[in-house]
Amino acid sequence: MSTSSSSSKKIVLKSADNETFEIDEIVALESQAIKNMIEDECADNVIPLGNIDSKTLSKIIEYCKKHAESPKKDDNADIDEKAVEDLKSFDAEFAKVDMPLIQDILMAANFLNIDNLIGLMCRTIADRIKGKTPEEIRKILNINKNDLLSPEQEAKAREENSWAFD
Amino acid sequence: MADILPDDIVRNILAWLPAKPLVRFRCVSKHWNHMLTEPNFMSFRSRKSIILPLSEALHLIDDNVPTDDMTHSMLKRCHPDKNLWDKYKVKVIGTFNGIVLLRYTHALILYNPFTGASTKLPCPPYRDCRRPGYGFGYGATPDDLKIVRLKQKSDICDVCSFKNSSWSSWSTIQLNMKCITFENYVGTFANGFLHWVAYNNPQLLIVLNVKDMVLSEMHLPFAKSFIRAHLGTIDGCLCSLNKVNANKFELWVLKEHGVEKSWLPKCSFTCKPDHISVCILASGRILMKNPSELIIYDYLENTYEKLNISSNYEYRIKMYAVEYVESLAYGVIGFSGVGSWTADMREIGDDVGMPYWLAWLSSTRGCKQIVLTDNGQVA
Repeated sequence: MSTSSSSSKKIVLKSADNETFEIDEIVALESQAIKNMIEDECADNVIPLGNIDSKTLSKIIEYCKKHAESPKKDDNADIDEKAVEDLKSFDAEFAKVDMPLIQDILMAANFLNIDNLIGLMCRTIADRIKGKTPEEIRKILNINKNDLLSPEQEAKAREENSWAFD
Repeated sequence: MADILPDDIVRNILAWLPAKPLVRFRCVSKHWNHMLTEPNFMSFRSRKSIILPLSEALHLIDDNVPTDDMTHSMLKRCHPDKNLWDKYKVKVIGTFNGIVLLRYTHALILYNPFTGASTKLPCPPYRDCRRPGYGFGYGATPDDLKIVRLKQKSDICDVCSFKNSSWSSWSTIQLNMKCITFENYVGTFANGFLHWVAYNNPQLLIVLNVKDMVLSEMHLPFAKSFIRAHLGTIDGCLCSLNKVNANKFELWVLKEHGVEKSWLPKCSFTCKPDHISVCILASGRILMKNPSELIIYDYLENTYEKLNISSNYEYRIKMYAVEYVESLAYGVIGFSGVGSWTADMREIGDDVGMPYWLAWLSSTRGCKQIVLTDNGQVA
């Protein structure tokens, strides 16, 4: 649908680094949080997103645009297969970014309450960490270093579950 | 760089992982260890895998993982005890809450293949009891777990109740069981009832009310079957898969429990003649085998997926599998009543004393009606 006409209502999002993004309302509605704000009529023309930087926000908007344009699953029973495939390959491409950005997108999607995107990012992270060691996980996901098992506890756990460390 | 992810997000990520990294990731931090061994997390994850009990090892197939990812799509876990001489005779009698009830010739063992914890159960009373029917289920409430052994061609039924941790015998005079044989068949549990197909009368179901220990008969919905029908459950209802002829299968569902007239045909499909059903899986799929391969057939989509498992002579002789929901939450199980169920898996993390058995009840029931709050109360 390239008919995102100029007549449709616009919403402006403002990132933490003060960049503004003008998007169609229908795109913004992909975010449950923004949807609630609009429904409660507490959204001004410009919605400030003080905890999302412009790099992350532009990715989020890219995602919401694509998903807003695609036919929704429960709209009708016979969604055309091609659209589903298309969306799948879009998601796969979309997730091909580095780990820090994935985490930023995930945090932002969580804040904006975009369910599908949360799921996509969680799945992507799971896929990337499933072959890693606990040490690697601690680095990748910023685990609090004061919360580690004691060396004895860790040695015991590794010994008891040695099969999982092969 | 991103902040530390909130717990619900971390749980969401972890829920997508196969079992092996979950076991490994208990070492990431105390907090992760705590999350991973929470009963609530495991029921939230609720991911099913398939157990194939083979003599070499228990094979656990996770078909959520692409089959080319061999490290994660199939795990081999050792038998609970190295000294069991009859591993080739192993059967899974039932599973609940991540724990598998295994039967060897002379031993009944509760085993969590992921934590490695196991408990030997008392042996059933000795009697000349060849090729009995076994079953595992619960009556009115899930804490009323029972293991049942039906002696074939007899009216004797041995029952082990988890409430008083001992075996007792019942006479099943309600039915004329003198001519029924079971051939080591394991009963299928659904809705408080255990079901066996009589070996020597493949249209006949023997049904046991686990709570009241009353036996009854019911007929399967078809007059003729090529081989003995497979039983399973779909959405909590008993179902039976019948091979009608060399390459046609019919799946039936018993809509209303105990009502013979409520058998409804669910679907029928054709396969190559060398395909044999092994296990009816949830979500509209059937595990099948042919002489060299294991295949998951999806009758809703009409698709086949080959499992990447090397051929094994046991595949050709017999094949038995059950669906299973793994859990890291439960370790060793005390056997004298529900209250003493303990979960040692938290020991390395912290020692929060939550009443685990409540959570255990909710997950045993296999439904989400019981919601646990943080302090373990049923909400």
